[in-house]
Order: sequence, then structure tokens, then C-alpha cells
Amino acid sequence: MGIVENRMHENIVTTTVDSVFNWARKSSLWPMTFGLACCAIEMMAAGASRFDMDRFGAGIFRPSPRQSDLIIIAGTVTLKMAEVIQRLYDQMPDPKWVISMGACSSAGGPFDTYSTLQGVDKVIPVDVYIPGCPPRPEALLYGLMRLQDKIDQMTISKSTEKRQAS
Amino acid sequence: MNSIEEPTVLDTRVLEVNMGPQHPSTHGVLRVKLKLDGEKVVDAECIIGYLHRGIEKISENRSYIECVPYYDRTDYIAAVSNVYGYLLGVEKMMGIEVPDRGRYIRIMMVELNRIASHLLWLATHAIDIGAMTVFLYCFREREEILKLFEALFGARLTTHAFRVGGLWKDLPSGFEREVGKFVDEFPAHIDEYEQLLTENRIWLARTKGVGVISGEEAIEWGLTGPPLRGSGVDYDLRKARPYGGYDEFDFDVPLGENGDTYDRYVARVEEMRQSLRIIQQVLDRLPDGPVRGKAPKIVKPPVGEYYSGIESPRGELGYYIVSDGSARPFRVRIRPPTFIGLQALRRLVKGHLMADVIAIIGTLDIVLGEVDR
Amino acid sequence: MSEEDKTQEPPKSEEGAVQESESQEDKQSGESEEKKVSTDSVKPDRSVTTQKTAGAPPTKVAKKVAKKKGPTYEDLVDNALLNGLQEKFPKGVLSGQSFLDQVTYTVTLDVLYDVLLYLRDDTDADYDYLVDLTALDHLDNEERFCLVYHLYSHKKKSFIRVRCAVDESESAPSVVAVWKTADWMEREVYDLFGIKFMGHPDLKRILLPDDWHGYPLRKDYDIKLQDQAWIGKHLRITRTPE
Repeated sequence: MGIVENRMHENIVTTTVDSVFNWARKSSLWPMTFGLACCAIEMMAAGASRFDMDRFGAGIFRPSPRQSDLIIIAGTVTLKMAEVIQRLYDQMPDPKWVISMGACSSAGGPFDTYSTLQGVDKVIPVDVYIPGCPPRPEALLYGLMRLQDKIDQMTISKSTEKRQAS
Repeated sequence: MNSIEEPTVLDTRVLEVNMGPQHPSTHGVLRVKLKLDGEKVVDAECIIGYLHRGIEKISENRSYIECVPYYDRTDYIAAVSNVYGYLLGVEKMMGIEVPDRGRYIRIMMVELNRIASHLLWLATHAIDIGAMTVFLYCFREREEILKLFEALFGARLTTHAFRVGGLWKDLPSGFEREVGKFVDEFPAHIDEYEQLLTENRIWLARTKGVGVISGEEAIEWGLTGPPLRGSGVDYDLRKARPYGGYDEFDFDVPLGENGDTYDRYVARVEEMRQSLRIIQQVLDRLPDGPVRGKAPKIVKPPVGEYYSGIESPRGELGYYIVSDGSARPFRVRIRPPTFIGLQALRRLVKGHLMADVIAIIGTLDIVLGEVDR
Repeated sequence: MSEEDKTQEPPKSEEGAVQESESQEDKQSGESEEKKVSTDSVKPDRSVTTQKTAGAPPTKVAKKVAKKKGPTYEDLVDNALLNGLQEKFPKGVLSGQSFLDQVTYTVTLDVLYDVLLYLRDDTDADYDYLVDLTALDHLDNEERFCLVYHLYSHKKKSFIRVRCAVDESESAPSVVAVWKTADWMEREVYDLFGIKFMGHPDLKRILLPDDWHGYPLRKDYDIKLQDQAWIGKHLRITRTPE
């Protein structure tokens, strides 16, 4: 089956708790099915046949924010929608991450108008920004991997939290 | 606790359920307020505007050429068609002639875009109803078309396909061969989808007799495109008011009979075949010559107004361009097919089950970018 | 800029004449004009052009020969529909013109509803399909707005346009009873222009939030103007722009 089968004796692995948690978290990100505009089509393409986001463990799109830990803001965020995004973000369980996909959600893009929010980071915190209008599916996959790197730096220990606070 | 009276008769109440704006099968950010009696839909109210980006206002603040990329983004699934409709209007007002080669290539790309758009519709419509395989199949072929777009336009989705007067450059070498290959291979893929769906019992049960609308009523509700033709009304702008040279090509307009979701599905699938026919004819007759006519660098249409309507994959797409003689449009009104068609949702879902709402939203083939602009 | 000047040269001499004679759009460019600093000097002074209202283009087409290549508005001659309309509504129908083969009828507000009903029911063509309904904002005009209806007849394959001037204080008749599809179009015009439609079953905002203030497609509304009160009420802005 895999490359490790039948090659080792029964064994144990020692590692840090952080590594285990981070490995688990980054390898099974559940994004929310949440498309706004043009970028959503590229997000769909990233999840479909050719690009297959599932290879990186992020292919199970969940229809509910309560079951997902990643929200990909794919498209223009209007003021009317920003209100909804806030609520969706609040409903997601911790730990949660946000990818801002495309120029619109990162900074308003070409739509500097009365109805558009100039960057989704004004209402929710963003972990990874992906440039492009719209970004290609490869760019989304790259952004996802950068997010995985970021998750890899996380720690669940108390001390760091204290250190950061002080 | 004892004081609560037990109801003697089991009665039901009308329940209000919100669907969207974050919902996997609303194709974006549509919100539908449903009034349900049990599983049955009593009334439905669409709440839109969650993607209103002010494109019409932007148009008034940009020059005629600067407007073009924004129309890519109104209907991002059929970006090529959208730009085409606008440019046809501007060229008509300016009296610019597009050379034959440019015209033909435009038609070819618009028809390829129609296929790509219908593929995306089929993929999402099928996955909404529960057929996952079709989704993966459709995206496989859609990628082939996007590859062609990328070769010619340099972008996959928001292509900025055409320029005033024609195209920005001629076809890259080998492009016609690649298109020819696609035209040869694609009919087999359509058969593949049809094999999965057309006589599939689940598909029939979910689509036949769902969302029925008669021809007269469809006109009254302003439906255009496949939703109108599914009801048997022969109205295709490529035939009714030919533009851009469509009258030089031979193709049929597929019509439905019953006006239900199934007929609209059949009409769209058949449309893909007809588009292939047009593309084949373009390939056979593609003349040599320039792809771009004489166009001034500063586009200033004369004072006046023009309504340029085209048949986008979703229906009648109109650009009502009003010029005051300056370099910026006085007003560009986009007549989006699905904004106007979506109104009919209320009429279509009445009396159906909750699950059918999904099928009916899918069959209208809405794109929220265009609904809200 | 030399490019721009060059392209402007030919129409320059004719522009004033052409505008005066044929245009009903002459007064509207106030706002966009100001922004085009570079071209101001080349333009003829537009304030001398006529005071005609938006919905009422000149009924007689001036016989001045416009040498400019561009298309011009031409009065309809021997048009059955126009004759029928003028017979039925002698005062209400102001003109019938053709521009680039598209026919425009201009009517007054008081007969608008009747004209549209007449076009749907009593003509040979039966204009059964309302293609589009929108508005224009001629800020400086006496009657500020102009409603534009595009109609199509499936029977005769004929496409026409009906225009009607509406002042800011006036409200237009709703045509939802004539064509159901007018419902959302009228709501959109109300939302973006603030024109009220009498008799509309559910006239409320459609694209913008219900409690938004202002009508964005009006010419005096700045494109970047956001309703700060609405934002303060509904959003938690955590990062403010520098």
C-alpha cells in the first residue's frame, strides 16, 4: 500500500505535543463552502478534477461554519455581506484560519465604490493573502501551503501565550 | 408545566426558513426567505444585493476602454460574452468595422465560452441534485477550454477578451488545431454526461415536472435564454436580432416543450452541441487578414444612445449605452439576464417541496455577480 | 495628450451645432466634464446649448447638415405606430425618433402608463416583453430623471424604446400590473435613483441594505461615499485605514 508498510518493526515515536497537534491541524483543514464572486469559481476549480485540493488535506468543503476551521474569502466583500461574514466567522470553532483570496477581499480590488468593503481584514483577521484577480488555482494551493507552514509554527503551550501577553 | 394545554388537533404552522446567503447551493450569495408549510413551499422571497459592487456607477467614472475589465467581472462565468456585448454596442455607435477574421474569432471564442459556462452550470446543477461524478467530468473538459482562453487571452477566467475594433492579437500558432481537437473530442464527452443523467431515474424524478412554466408566463416574467426556450418560445437573439455576423452561420435553436427543469437541462445540453457546430464552421471558413479594424485610441462615441443586446449563455444580455460625447459613458445600464430571470423563482417554487428549490435555483443558472452587479 | 487632442479635432467644429440640434444629452455632462481637465479648453461652451428637458428631445430635427460622420437622431416619417400613438394621445406623445435603427418614443408622465398599456394590448405588435426598465439622471435638467423602457414584441420581432421625463418631486406609475417582470426593475430604479413608483406592490430597496441612506446612481452621489452611519451600526471595523 504505502511506502512505509513492512519496513519497520513495531515501534514508537517521540515528538512534541505541538508537532502532533500542528501536524493533525494542518493536514486536515476543513474549509467552508463559501464563494462570493469570481474567485469562488477558481476555488471550485481548485477543488475539482485537475487541481484536486484534496491532495493537501483541504478538500472536504463543509457547508456549515460550525464544522469548518478555514474560511476562504473568495471574492468581493460588499458592506452588506461583511455583516454576514462577521457572523459566520464568529460561528466557527477555534482554532480557525482565514485565507483572503484575490485582490477584492485583500484590499477592495478594482471596486473602490460605495458598496464595497476595502479589504476583509477590516472586519476579520486574515492569515494568508493571495494576490490575483482572480488567483489561479495553483495560487490558492500555494496559499494553502503557506497557511500550513503558519499552522506548523503554532503552539498549544501556556508559556508562549504568557510571554506574548507580557 | 401542567398548565400548557395539549393541542387537540395536530395543526401545522407556516414556518419561515432562511436559505443563504451562505448556502452551498445558492451559487454564491443569494438569500431566499422561504415560507414553508411542512415540506411545502408557500412563498419565497429573494434577497439579493450581497454582491452589489456598483459596476454601473464605476462605468460612469471610467473611460469607455477602462470599463471593459469590469464587465468581465459582472458575469465571471461568461466573461467573454459580456465583453463582447458591450464592445458591439460601442463599435456600433462609433461606426467601427471589425474585419472578418476578427469577427469570426470572436464568435468562436464566445461560443467556446458558452460551452464552458454551460459546463459549469451542469456541474453545479448536478452536484446540487446529488450527482458528484458529473461535477468532476465537467470540470475536466472546462479546463480544456480555459487552456485555450489562456493561450489566446492570457487569463483563464476574467479574460479581457476583446478590444474595440477586434482582438488585441492574432491566434497563436497551433491554436486552430487545438480548437479542432476539442471540437472532435467534446461530443463524446457530452454523450458521457447524458449517459449519466438523461435517463437516470433519480435525475428524472428530481427534474421532470419541477418548476413548470408556460411560454406566455415565461415571457411575462422576463425569462430569456434556456429558461425561456425550455418552455418552447423560439427567442434567441442570435436569430431574432442577429449581431456580429451570426446570421452567416448555420445552427439550430433547441426548444423544450414542457417548460420544466428537465427540458431546460435538455435545451442547454443541446445548445452545447449547436455551439460546437458554429465553432466547426468558423474553423472551416476562417479567413486570413487582420484581426483588428481601425479604432481610435480615445474612444468617444457620438452623442446618443444604443441598446446592444446579445444572447449570453444565460439569456438576453443588454448594454444600454448613453453617450454625451465625452470620453466617459454618461450611463451604461447592464440588462442582466439572471437578475430579471431570478424574479420568476417565486413563481416557480410555489407548491413544490423544499428540496426542489435547489433544483429550480440551479435551473435558472444564476450568477450573482450579474444579478447584483 | 496630443493623441487626444488630435482625435478631438475633427468633431470640434461641428460639435456645437450637432449638439444643439439633435441632442437631449447636452446638459448632462456637467459632472464628468469637470473631471476632464485636459479637454476642457477644446470643448465648446456647453452652457449655451438649449434648455430642453431630458425626456423631451426636440420635436423637429434641425435641417442643419451635420457633416460629422457619426449617426444622428432622425424624426420618424410615416411611422404607423407613431401615428397611432399621436392619434390616441395627442398631447402626451412628444416625438418619435430613430437613432442607429433603434426607435425612441418620448412621452409625458401623465400618459406614460396608458401608453405602455396601449403598446402591450392595442397595437398590432403586442409588446409583450419588457426588456428593460432603467433611468437616467440629468442633473441640470428641469426635469431631472428620465425613465427608459425597452420593449420587444415576440410577434413582430420589433424592438422599441419609450422615454419619459420625471422630476425629482414626481413619482412614476408602476407597470408591474402590465408586465410582472417590472417588479425588480422598478425596485432597482428606486434603490439606485430614488424614483418612487406609485402602485408598486412592494417598493423597497433591493441591492443595497434596507436602512441605507442615499441613492448611488444619482450624479451628485460620489462613487466612494459610504453610509458611515450604516457601517457603524452593522460592522465591527477593527482596522482603520491610514
